[in-house]
Amino acid sequence: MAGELARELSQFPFTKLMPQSFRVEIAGLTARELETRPVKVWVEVDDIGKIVKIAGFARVLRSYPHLNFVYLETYASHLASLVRSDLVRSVWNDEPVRADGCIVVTGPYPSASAMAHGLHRRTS
Amino acid sequence: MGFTGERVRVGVVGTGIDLAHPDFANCSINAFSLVGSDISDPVGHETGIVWLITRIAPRADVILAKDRIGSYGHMHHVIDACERLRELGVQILNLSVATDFPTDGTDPLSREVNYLVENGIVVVTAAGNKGPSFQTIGAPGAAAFGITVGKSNDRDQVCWDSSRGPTVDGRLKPDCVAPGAHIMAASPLQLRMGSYVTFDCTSYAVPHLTGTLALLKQAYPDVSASEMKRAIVSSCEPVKPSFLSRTASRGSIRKRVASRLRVALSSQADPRWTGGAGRINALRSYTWLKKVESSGAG
Repeated sequence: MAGELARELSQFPFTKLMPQSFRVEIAGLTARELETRPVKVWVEVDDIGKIVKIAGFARVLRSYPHLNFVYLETYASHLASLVRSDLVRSVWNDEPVRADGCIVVTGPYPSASAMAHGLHRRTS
Repeated sequence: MGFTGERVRVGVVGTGIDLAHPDFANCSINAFSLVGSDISDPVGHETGIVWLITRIAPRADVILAKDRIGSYGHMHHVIDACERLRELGVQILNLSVATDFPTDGTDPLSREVNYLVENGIVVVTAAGNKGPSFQTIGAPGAAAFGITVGKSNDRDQVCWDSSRGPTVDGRLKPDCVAPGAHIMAASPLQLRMGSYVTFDCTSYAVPHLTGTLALLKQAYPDVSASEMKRAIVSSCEPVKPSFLSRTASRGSIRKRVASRLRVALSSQADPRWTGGAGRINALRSYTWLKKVESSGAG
């Protein structure tokens, strides 16, 4: 099964898998892991009406016609059939976005009261 | 001139907000959550961002969309929040988020930003905190039509860790820089860290521009999103290269060696990859728009 899958992967344009880190991650999975690993991906298609034909076993979570993307959940092993399709232009992993690591100092700031009243000198 | 952001609707996507903070008492702020009914901010990220926006544009009508629980969300959370805010008629959108991977702007989140701008919304995005290596701008900062903001310090120097351009496909980014180092802002009372904390990231450069845009939008309500971006970028002031930054000179020996190496390499780099067009200047942008309006081109 693993050999078969490897052959299958080598035949198809895996550059459609984005970003590169996701491609590397998927390439590093064993056949067993590919079959059991759920992934949520964004599939870019030219004709969003044909997504049912492309999706197969995947579960369509939501479609975004204005972006030409369909957001779906499937198993990693099904990614091969997705990227194989001529109708699919790219497959993006639903990457995390972050908003942390910002706070450097806690507690009251020396000029806090002045700044709280709109005297923030950095905004000039 | 007396601009306060009145009649301008500003959208913010993020971790939630503490509406009980006393500084929000006289502000027009509404919030909703896409992840349950609780709008509180367990991280403290967006409470500070909305606070900054309302310090610059105190009469702006701010709508916050809570799209995640905790610091991390996913692209679909942000896109769903953006769509809701578009439906609610926001004119300016603050996106203080970034992905870890550099992109060419074809990812779903960057496309959403382009779509919003095409629909008349001015979208301000963070460059990210992955500098000083080049080509470190992720989504949605890589979106072609958004205004991508890097971080400068109080000496008008681009900070060490502000993400650098160009984008993976070679476009110039960031578009500009704004103050983002050691920024004091409100903190949710539930975090028990005091009423104010200090932030240091490109996320906090974004609301400086968002607030400024709210003032400009009040002054020139009919100016298009692309014209607004042009007004900001064409009015920037020069910033100093990153290798002169205090952060670099005060860092560890390893950082200093890396800094010198970077100086040597930077002779081949376009300075705009570091700081874009430069630091934003609200007054010059206002004057620029005034000239455009008087010439009838706007």
